[in-house]
Amino acid sequence: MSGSELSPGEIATLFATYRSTRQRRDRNKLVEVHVSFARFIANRFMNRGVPTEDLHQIALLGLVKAVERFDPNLGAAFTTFAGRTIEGEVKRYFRDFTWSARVPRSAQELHLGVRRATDELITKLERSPTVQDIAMHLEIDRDDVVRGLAASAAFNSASLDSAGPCSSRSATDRTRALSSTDDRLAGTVDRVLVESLLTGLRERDRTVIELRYFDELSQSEIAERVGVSQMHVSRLLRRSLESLREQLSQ
Amino acid sequence: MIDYIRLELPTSSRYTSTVRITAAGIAAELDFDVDFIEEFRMGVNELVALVIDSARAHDAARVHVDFLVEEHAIEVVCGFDSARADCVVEVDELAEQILDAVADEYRVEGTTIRLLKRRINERV
Repeated sequence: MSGSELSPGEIATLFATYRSTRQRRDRNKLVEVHVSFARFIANRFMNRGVPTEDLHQIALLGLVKAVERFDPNLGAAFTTFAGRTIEGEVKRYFRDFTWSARVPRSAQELHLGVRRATDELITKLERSPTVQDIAMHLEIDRDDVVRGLAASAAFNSASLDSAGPCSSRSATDRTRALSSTDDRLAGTVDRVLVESLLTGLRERDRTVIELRYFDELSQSEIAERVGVSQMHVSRLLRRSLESLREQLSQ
Repeated sequence: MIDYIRLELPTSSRYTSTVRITAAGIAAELDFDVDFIEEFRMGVNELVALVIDSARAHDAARVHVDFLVEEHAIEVVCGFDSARADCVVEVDELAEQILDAVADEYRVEGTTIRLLKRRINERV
């Protein structure tokens, strides 16, 4: 298993063939000629308490993913792309098995990422982005984009594309919805997104938001329940929306 | 209780992504974590690609993928129908390595391969 079997030109041709035919024979060949490269990347992480064999296995999976996802038309060299993918896999492995703090990467998070990317791309491309556009933008797999899109259905959220009862403008622009008056917000903003953003707020601020937008109480009703003035509720709401908007634009 | 989901598709590599997405969707529905989903997806991809290759080599027109879904594990059975008794799905070395890495169990049974993946905290 060594890269010397094929010239760079032959490898490029093989990638082009594989992209169009998706024959596993071609994929296997591409993986085979890059195995030593993958091990080379993995070896940088040696002597950190993970057996070399495990490292190589993780690197191999990363290599398979890289071969399957690599698009030669994007102009980057395969080794650049694969190096990053493999390194990512190995680092993830270290994170999962040797670090105590594990970063949660839920489907919901994916969903939010896809939603955010969709908004950004609508502005950038001036059209609705394709799955491929979003995948490239987020540097994730097309399948993951589809999964992120599917997650919105799973979480039972109202679609951003269905304009709320109070909305006179396009409801797809979430940032605008958030920055407009709170009446409009109630009808248009993606509930799931809000729910997830809310976890970043202080408890009382969250309660106020929930009473206002989920239970649809008026500011004075909220004021009575929480035990502050209506103006206070108004300020709390404004401040929370500000904070949510900030999180959203990150 | 076991939920049972079946897909049937032509022997074209074009639809492997549909199977992967279905696999990911099922796992996501059961709230398996992202690492599980990623590995499961990879395993299913390998399974289906292997079976499609074998099916083509034996002039079978369609393959089927069955998901047997339990709360703590998902089993996938992928295969094709063949009149010939000696027909066996061949697993190449790379596929073997991938399946070893991502599946808790797998085995070839003639024109069928089964793959089992358990929820992480259910592993013994």
